[in-house]
Amino acid sequence: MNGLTGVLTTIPATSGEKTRTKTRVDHRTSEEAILVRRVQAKDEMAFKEIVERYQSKVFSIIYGILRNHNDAEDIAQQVFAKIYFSIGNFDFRSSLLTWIYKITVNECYDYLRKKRVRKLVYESDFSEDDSTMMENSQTAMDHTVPVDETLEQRDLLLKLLSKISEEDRSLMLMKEVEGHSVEELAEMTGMNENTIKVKLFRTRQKLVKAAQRLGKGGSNPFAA
Amino acid sequence: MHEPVIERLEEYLDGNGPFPEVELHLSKCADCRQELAAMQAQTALMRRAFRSEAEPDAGFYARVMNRIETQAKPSVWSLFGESMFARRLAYASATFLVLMGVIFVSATEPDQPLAASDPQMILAGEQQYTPVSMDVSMDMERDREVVFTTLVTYQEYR
Repeated sequence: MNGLTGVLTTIPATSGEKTRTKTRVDHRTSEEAILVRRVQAKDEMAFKEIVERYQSKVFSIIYGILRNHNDAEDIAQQVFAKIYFSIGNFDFRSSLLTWIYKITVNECYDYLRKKRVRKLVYESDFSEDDSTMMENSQTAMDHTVPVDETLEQRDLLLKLLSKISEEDRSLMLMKEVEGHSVEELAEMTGMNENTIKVKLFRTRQKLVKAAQRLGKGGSNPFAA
Repeated sequence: MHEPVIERLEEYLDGNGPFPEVELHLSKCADCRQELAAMQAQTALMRRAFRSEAEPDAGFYARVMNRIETQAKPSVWSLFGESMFARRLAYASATFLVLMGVIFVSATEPDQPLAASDPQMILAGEQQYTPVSMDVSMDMERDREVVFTTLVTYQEYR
């Protein structure tokens, strides 16, 4: 997209709309920041409050990506352990939720990457005959069991999302999965609304192009 | 994708609108229509595929704390991790190893060639290889010669 930055940064607030350029939210003085400071000062009750406040959100993000309760439990525990050990480095540039969201999505992708590596190692242990046998049985299965197209597309989408940066991925999922508006995202991340729009647009373009590359004959596998 | 669509993209994908300027542009631009359709499909799939309302089982906080305790247990190696003491110990060990290395290298340097040419040493060495006999009928004459030679060499050397 040529000149996108120019397009979006020169757009004045449209008439009749609320002003686009808002004062940045100071994440250092919020009620959340006080809670974070208490955790940084090793207050376990404050940490408990953070866990209780965000456990549902974290768990549903993970479950949404992995679709497995046990895996979601394991990753959610790991996310909060990571929060506990690294909250000292939290710099209040974004909201606590944005930071937690980023950690959560990263943990999911780490898990998926490790799982893929494990699968590859496991498969490499098979002899050539075993592999051929498995491939044949897989082909046979493909003919008998109807393929769930949505699941296939979901896996493809996960794969495409793994190819973009952590920041773009979190932003896109926060917008589309968590349902935050551009305005909310700007408040949460400390970026201005136009930057958020540019980032989202570029991410969408990357995803569409990557999907077209993967699709047969350059067609878009997500096209209805 | 062109300006009128880009400007309103997020609102359009969220189903807000209508936006006459976007509709007008889309009616004339096939590229924008195609790209927007792909973005809409992807967005719909993302919303459908990843949204969930799952909850962890009861006692989640206790399980988190258990995991934290397990991960926080200091191993022997972690004691040498980041503390100032550990850093000082590492520097001291490195210095000690360097010093030991220098001492070892200087101690194993080859002997001075003068020592090897010292006649007294040569004779002493030869004497070492002379078989010692406890026999009383030892050749006294030969012994005397050896003593004499040693004395003469000693004097010459001095």
